Amino acid sequence: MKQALKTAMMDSISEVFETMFFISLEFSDLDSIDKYSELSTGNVIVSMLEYTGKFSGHFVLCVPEILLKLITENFIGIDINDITEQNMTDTLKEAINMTGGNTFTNYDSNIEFNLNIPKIIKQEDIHKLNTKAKFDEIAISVETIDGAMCVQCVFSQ
Amino acid sequence: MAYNAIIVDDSQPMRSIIIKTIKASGFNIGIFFEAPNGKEAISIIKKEWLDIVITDYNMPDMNGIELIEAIKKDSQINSIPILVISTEGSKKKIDEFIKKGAAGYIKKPFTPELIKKKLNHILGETDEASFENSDDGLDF
Repeated sequence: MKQALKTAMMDSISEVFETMFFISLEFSDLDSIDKYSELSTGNVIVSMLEYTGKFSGHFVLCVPEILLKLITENFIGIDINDITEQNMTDTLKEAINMTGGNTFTNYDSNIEFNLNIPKIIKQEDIHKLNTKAKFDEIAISVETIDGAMCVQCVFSQ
Repeated sequence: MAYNAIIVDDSQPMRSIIIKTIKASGFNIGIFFEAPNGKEAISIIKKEWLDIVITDYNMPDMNGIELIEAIKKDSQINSIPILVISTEGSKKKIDEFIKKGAAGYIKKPFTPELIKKKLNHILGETDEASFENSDDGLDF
């Protein structure tokens, strides 16, 4: 199940970021979100999407601020100098919403998962989410020419 | 002919990208209205002349299903077709959209070609007619 979910996630990330954000990607597998090197810089913006269904948990998307600005520029098509913090957080929430929803469609469209409204969380809250429940995780580093982001899926078996 | 549309989505960037994608597709939309949830959408739909409602599912206050139900219950507006654009892609959820009265469904992420095909189908346009009438460039 974990391998199938990981494949569905990678397909979803490609579809979402290549179709909607016009970004080429390469993946590398991380055992844990803790191995994502950008977290140590503190300049990472984080969105989170909770879900329930056959199994439950949440997705986390971490993007360095500079990369998020470029993604936002690609997404909404306004000059990078005119992008507001609100534009960036809205874009990040939409990115995790599409990535999460599309992951489940790719995983098995016969199974219904309910998605919550995506939220922006503080970087330090990633670990609070992980310690609150004993879940397994998939963490993928998504590399672009402008930096690396991380997508994590935490789930109950 | 040009069609008036309302885009209902709680994400402002997503409303912008849907508008941009429809323009890029060459489909001929006259006026785009926008609303962040179903409640605000209903008040606009009742006031303005609209040919199609394009809505997300997962929104605070009034979600896409509740919006479809509210439109279908109101005889003043229940003939306006509704297209759902959502990340919710399970067969059960899509069946629910259609059963409640949606005329079509598109999964996010989407392309200009897919949106145009759906709009043509729902509004009874041919690809050629819609493309020829468009005054927006393919500047996506």
